[in-house]
Order: sequence, then structure tokens, then C-alpha cells
Amino acid sequence: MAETLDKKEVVVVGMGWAGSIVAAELAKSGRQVLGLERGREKTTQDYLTAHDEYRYVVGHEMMQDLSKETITYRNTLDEEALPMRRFGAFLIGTDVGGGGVHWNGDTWFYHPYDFELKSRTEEKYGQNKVSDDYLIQDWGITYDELLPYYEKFEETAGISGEQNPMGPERRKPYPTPPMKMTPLLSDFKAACEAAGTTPFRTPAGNMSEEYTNPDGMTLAACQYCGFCEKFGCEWGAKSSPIVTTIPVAKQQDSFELRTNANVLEIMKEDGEVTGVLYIDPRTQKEYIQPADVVVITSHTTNNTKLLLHSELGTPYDPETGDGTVGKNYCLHITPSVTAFFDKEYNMSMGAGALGVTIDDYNNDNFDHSEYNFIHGGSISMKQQGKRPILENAVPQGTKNWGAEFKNESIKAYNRSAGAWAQMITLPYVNNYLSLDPTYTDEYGRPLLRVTYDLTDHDRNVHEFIADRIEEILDEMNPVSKNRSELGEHFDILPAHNDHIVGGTIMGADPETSVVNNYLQMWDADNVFVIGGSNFPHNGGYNPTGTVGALAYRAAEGIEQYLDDNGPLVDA
Amino acid sequence: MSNEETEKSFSRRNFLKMSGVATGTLITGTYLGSLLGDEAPPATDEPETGNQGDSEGSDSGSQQQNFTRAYKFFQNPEEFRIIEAATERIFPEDDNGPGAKALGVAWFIDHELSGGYGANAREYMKGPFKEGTDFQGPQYATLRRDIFRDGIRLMNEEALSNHDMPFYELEGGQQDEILTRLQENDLELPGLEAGDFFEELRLVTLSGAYADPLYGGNIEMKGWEMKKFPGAYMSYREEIEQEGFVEKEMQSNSTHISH
Ligand SMILES: Cc1cc2nc3c(=O)[nH]c(=O)nc-3n(C[C@H](O)[C@H](O)[C@H](O)COP(=O)(O)OP(=O)(O)OC[C@H]3O[C@@H](n4cnc5c(N)ncnc54)[C@H](O)[C@@H]3O)c2cc1C
Ligand code: SF4
Repeated sequence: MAETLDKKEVVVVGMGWAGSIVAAELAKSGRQVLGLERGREKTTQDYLTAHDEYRYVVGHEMMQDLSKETITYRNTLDEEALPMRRFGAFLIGTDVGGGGVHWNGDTWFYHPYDFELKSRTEEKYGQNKVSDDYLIQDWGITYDELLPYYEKFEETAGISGEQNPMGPERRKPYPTPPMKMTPLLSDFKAACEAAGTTPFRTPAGNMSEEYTNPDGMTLAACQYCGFCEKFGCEWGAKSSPIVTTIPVAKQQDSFELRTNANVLEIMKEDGEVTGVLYIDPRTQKEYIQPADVVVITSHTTNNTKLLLHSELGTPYDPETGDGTVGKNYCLHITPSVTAFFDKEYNMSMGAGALGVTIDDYNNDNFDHSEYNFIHGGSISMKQQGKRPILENAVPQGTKNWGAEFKNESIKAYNRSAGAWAQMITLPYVNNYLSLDPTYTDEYGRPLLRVTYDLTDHDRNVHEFIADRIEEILDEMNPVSKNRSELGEHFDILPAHNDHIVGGTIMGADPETSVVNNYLQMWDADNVFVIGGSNFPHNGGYNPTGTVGALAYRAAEGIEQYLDDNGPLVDA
Repeated sequence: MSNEETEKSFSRRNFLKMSGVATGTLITGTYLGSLLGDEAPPATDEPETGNQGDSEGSDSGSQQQNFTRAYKFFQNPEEFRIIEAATERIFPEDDNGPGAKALGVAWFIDHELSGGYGANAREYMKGPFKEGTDFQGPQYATLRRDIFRDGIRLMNEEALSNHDMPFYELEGGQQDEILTRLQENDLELPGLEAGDFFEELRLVTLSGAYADPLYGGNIEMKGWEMKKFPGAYMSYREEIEQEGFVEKEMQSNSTHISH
């Protein structure tokens, strides 16, 4: 029997960037906030001895424990979905700070075009540029409306960078200057220029210098230690909730953090949402936590899963097109080319977001009239710090074991580098999230089922972008190149890209979206759902800048809701 | 492996225990040592103390016993030798430096299989288990520790039936032939494709060659040395901008531990 606890004003489910931003903002204005996190507390001290590829990368130390909870997967509607038994295509974080602790820190504003994808595409290219099976839609918010929140997130996170020559003019400089330049990145930059494109420094959440944010939190300067993505930062130099928003929330008396609290369901009474049900995974004891407002920030898969389990909103049905929860599930596809050089670089050194990017083939930055696709992707070369177990690039045609493999992989270790794109994918009728009819999690609840396959549109973009990457890398005079190819179907096993979005999308119309532009549910005024799950499509950049901006906006909306108790946007 | 041999191994251990002989070095070169020699755990090219990182001070020649060099998973030296030989073919000694054998990869695998890795502890292992398409990832119910036990047996059976010799005594080319047949699903294992086992073996070999030496492989960071991977450095801030390759001394995680 679940124990019922004392009511709180606001309960926030999940303590990643989204949840901790909302918690910190509301607690700062004196609201009584409870943060529930399924994982454990994490601090910078926990990473002092963590330069261990085997434990953190091969062993997925910082990721969701799949033995307790995973997703099921199938390519098409007529297949039976089977569990993702081990990590591959994408990773999902856990513990306080969520994916914001082990991320790289690439932090972007989406392009104005993204927020009006449908109307701008139709305006410029007509109604039939993409078929109706691609469920593109406007986001119900414009870039200009979101800009102040983007800036707020950048300042909290101390993002470093410089003006993107292909992007909208910035109102303010980046909080910190660009990171250090490396010989590899200089060579890539020169190659981009030689190929007629306009490179600039990748906006980074690795601090180029010591930085104190508006909340008074100080982040140390990045040491380019090369153990960044999939690791926590032992210097407190990577922008992360555990060095910014979590400590700020904790400074407020009105905030409480409760770890080992895995939320199973959003509770309802007479159709009204009244709080959440959670379980302590150590003791398996269940608790009911009543609250005035429930904020769901448990990342794309769990945001959708929680709504479906709680029967909130209408599940999307791909056969009829009705319903919204689970709709517009998208990934990032990553066209990539690895180049092999004669020259030796210091590939073990680097930082998660240390890079050079071009935006010439992203958004609507080039005329798509003669192409059979819209949008594109940002192309970057990063120097993130190679690590030896999993970095074994060898020229095409080399067997993956034995004497030749050993020799080639050792030779290539400091003499090869890849460039890749964060390439958009468009939402598609059959790519969606639902509950699995067979497989269950640790607590006996249906797993989330992912139905996803590559679309013709996205294959076209992939081909185009991979060609552009090759053109650029050719300017670096490589000895040879390996180019990524898409398979017959999307494969859940090989590592691909962690940016999964959609499922609880935002919009201006309750018929086609789950939340309004304050991330408030159309179907339940006191429920806010925030994360990549709000994106109607995945733009051509890493997603978290936009997640942060949406969280700041939602915090404002929740504040308003607590005062006025009603819908914040008219349906 | 025959029962007879198992008994011998046991009796050797019992003998050492009962006689109070503490270190391997004491019996080497003695009459008893020569009697027991051929059942001693397979010698690697590295001193057995190597992995403890303190070998520099031991120039007196007296080597400390490495207490981590005992089986946590393998049941007998035969299993160990088969894995050692197979991983050496996957990652062979060459001009670059040591192969899997000298890097202690078999020890790494032994230790890992006995723990969470061998038990697929952080993977979803609930049924029903169904075959699935080629795009749905591994779907087998068999745990790694069983896969390896069966895989080792299979490699050896192939060696014995085709060449009348245990796997570890075959020529390299003959061993490669068996490994290739595994990789190409041309042999049978219960519950999964032989190629799945090969892929596990391939990946764990690379892990053993390149993981921090704290796990028992990558002896003296010699795996890292080949790739010129400096290891667990905390900062490259002063070097990151430098032109030309920066040679650095290897550093393991143990450097950061101070109790
Ligand atoms: C390896 C990796 C690298 C990445 N690098 C980048 C990058 O460079 N740039 C970028 O923009 N994005 C990057 N991302 C994506 C980024 O991590 C996510 O966009 C971001 O973390 C989303 O923040 P969030 O708060 O919505 O979700 P999360 O950070 O995932 O936080 C969700 C939290 O909710 C908790 N939770 C989940 N379910 C429950 C439940 N039922 N009850 C209670 N708590 C729950 C989780 O434990 C977690 O702490 C990366 C992702 C990965 C995996
Ligand atoms: S590269 Fe920089 S930000 Fe990343 S973990 Fe190392 S010191 Fe921290």
C-alpha cells in the first residue's frame, strides 16, 4: 500500500537540465518545490578518479540501468517490437543532473526557420515540397519569442562561442570567448574555407575560462582532459546542472531534492491531476506525492511513457492519424566521414564541444529548389579526446581483428579524425512512441515501444550532407576516407546519436500537439511536460540549448499558473 | 580437459597450501618445481608482478607474488589457455608491441566474466526471447559467462576434431581458421549465433588490451603505449594548442588515488 505524503506546491519529476532549471527558478521565487529523481545524488567530487573508459563508456556507468527499464523497438507497424537489451543507437542518462552531466556541452539556438518549418517551407517551395506523410508543423512559438530564454540558458551555462556567420545576428556576445584552437581544428577550418564554406567555433559548454553565472555559481576553466562525453567533469568546468541549477535550487529553503524516487504514474482524482506515484527502487516501497502542479522532465522516452501510463492526453494512432501523445518521434541521423592522414595529431587531448562548425548546409541557408529534401544539418569536426578501447578506425576493407587490424588501428589512432553532421530528421506518420503490449519494466509496467525507420527524405539529406563532408575533408589531403552509409533499415545496435525527440510535442493547436508554448498540457492545466519531447522535429543542431530555453519559459508559465490557475494559452 | 588433469591441479594447490610454500618463485628450479611445472598457470611474457605497477623497484630479482593472478571465472588452465591463444590471434604481438597474451587480456576476461559483465547485469534480460530482425539488436537469453564457456569448448572441440590438438597448440593460421568460422556463423552454439560470441570476444579483447590497468589487462600500460594514449591525465591545457605530436609518459587512474 502506497504511503501518502504531505502535499507540495510543485513536484518536478527528473533532475536533469529541464527539471533543475524549473526547480531552481520556482524555488528562487519562494515556491515550494520538490524534485524527484530516480537516480542518486552526484557531485563533482564523484568524478575525481573517473578517467576510465571501460567503466564509463563501455560499461555505461552514467546511463539508465537497462535491466530495470528499457524500450522495445521495431522498424515497421507490422513487426513485433523487441526489447533494446543493451545500449546502442542512443543513450539515456540517469542520476541527479541527468544527461547534463555526461553530455559534451554543444549548445545551440535552433534557427528561426525551425520554429516555422511548415509555413516557411510552404511559402518558399509550395505545398508539395514534402509529402503529407511527413508531419512537419510549426512549433507554436517563434525564435524571437524564445530568444530571451535561450539567452538566459546560455548565461546560466556560461556557453562559449562566436557569431555564426550563417545564423541570426546575436543580440549579445557569448558569455565566454571561444575555446582554444588546436592544430587539427585549424586544418579543418582551412579546409572548410577552401571548400567555400564559412567555419566558426562550435558553441561550447566547456568553459574557455573561469566563469561566474548570474546565480553566482562559478565554473572552472576547462582543462581539455579528453574524458568529457559520457563522463562527469572532475574540474566543475563542464556546464552541468550539478554545478549550476542544482546547487542554486538547494540554496533555497523552499526546495527539497528526493533521490531514489522513480515516478511511475501521474495521479488523477475525478479527472484532475493531484500528484504523482513513485517507488523507491532500493526498498520497492511506494509513495503518493500530492502536488498542485506536476512538472514532467524525465527526458523524451519517459516523458511520453509517463503520459501514456497515466492516460493523460490522447495516444497517437498512426493508422488514423488521430491523437498526439507519442507522435513526431525523431532522431538525429549522423552522416560522417573519417579521414586518415599522414600527419600525427594529439588526438587524446580535447573537450566535448571543442570544435569547428559550418552551417552552410543547414536550415534554409541554401536554396532547396533543386533538391528533393528540405533543411539539412550543421557539419562539425570535434576534438573531443579519443580513447583507445572503442577508437579503432581502420581504412575500409581492413578486417576487424588480427595483425593487420592491430597495426592499422594503432597507426590511425593519432592520424585520423572524423567530421559529422547533426542532421535533421523529419517526423513521419509511422515513426512514433506507444506502450508495448508484451514487455514490462522492473515494476511490471509496459515498456515504451519505439517504432522507427529511416525515411526517403532523410536518406536524401544524408546523401547530400555526406557528399559535402567529403568535399571538405578532401581539402585536408587525406590518405583515405571512410564514409558512413545508411543500411536497409535503422538498426538499434550500433551507436548512432543520442538526440531523441518528440512524443509530447508543442504547438498552437490541441489537435496536433500535446502542450502549448508554455509546455502546459492542453488536457491538464496543472501538468507541464518539458524536454526534447516537445520538439515537433529535430533541428540541425544538438538539442539541449532548446531544452534549456523551453524550461526557462515553462518556469515562467508555471509561476503564472500558480497565480491564475488556468490555461496560459487559448486553444 | 580430462578429470585426471583437474585432479592434478587441485593436488598442486593443496600441496602448496599444506607445505606452506608461499610464493611461486620458491619452487621454481627445485625438484618439486620441475615436477609441478607443467601444471603451473600458463606463464605470460610479463613478470607476474607487472600489473601492480611497482616493478621498477624490484631490480633485486625477487618478485612479489601477484595475488590477483588466480581464476575467478575459468575453471582450469585449459580454458585460460584457449582464451589466451584466441585473443592473441585477435590482437597479436607485433612490431608495435605486445599482444593480448602479454597484456594479460585473458586475466582481464577471467575477472570480468566473474562479475556484472558475465551476468549481463545492466542489460534487459527478461523474456520472452524471440529471434527478431537484423535491426533489433541481440535477443539471446544466454548470459555471457555461459556463452564464453560454450564458446571456449567449441573452439577446442574444433581444434581436436580437425587437428587432433588442443586449440592453444595449433598454428596461428589454424587458429584463425576456427575464429573465422566463428565470425562467419559457420559453427554452432546453443542459443545464439557463433558470430555473436566472436563479436563479444573481439570487443572484450580490445577492452582487455586498452582498459585502465586497474582491471588486470593492459599490463604496465603497454597497450596505451602502442597507441601513444597517455592515459588518465587531468589536464592538457598547456599542450592542447601545440603543433606537432606531444609525447607524454603514460599515467593510470591509480595515480589519482591517495589514501
Ligand atoms: C552521451 C550524450 C552526449 C550528449 N551531448 C549533448 C551535447 O553535446 N549537446 C546537446 O545539446 N545535447 C547533448 N546530449 C543530449 C542531452 O543530454 C539531453 O538533451 C539533455 O540531457 C536533456 O535534458 P533533460 O533534463 O530533458 O533530460 P535528462 O538530462 O535525461 O534528465 C532526465 C532526468 O529524469 C530522471 N528520470 C527519468 N525517468 C524518471 C522517473 N520515472 N522518475 C524520476 N526521475 C526520472 C533521469 O534519471 C534524469 O536524471 C547528449 C546526450 C548523451 C546521452
Ligand atoms: S574536457 Fe573540460 S569540461 Fe570536459 S571533462 Fe575535461 S575539463 Fe571538464
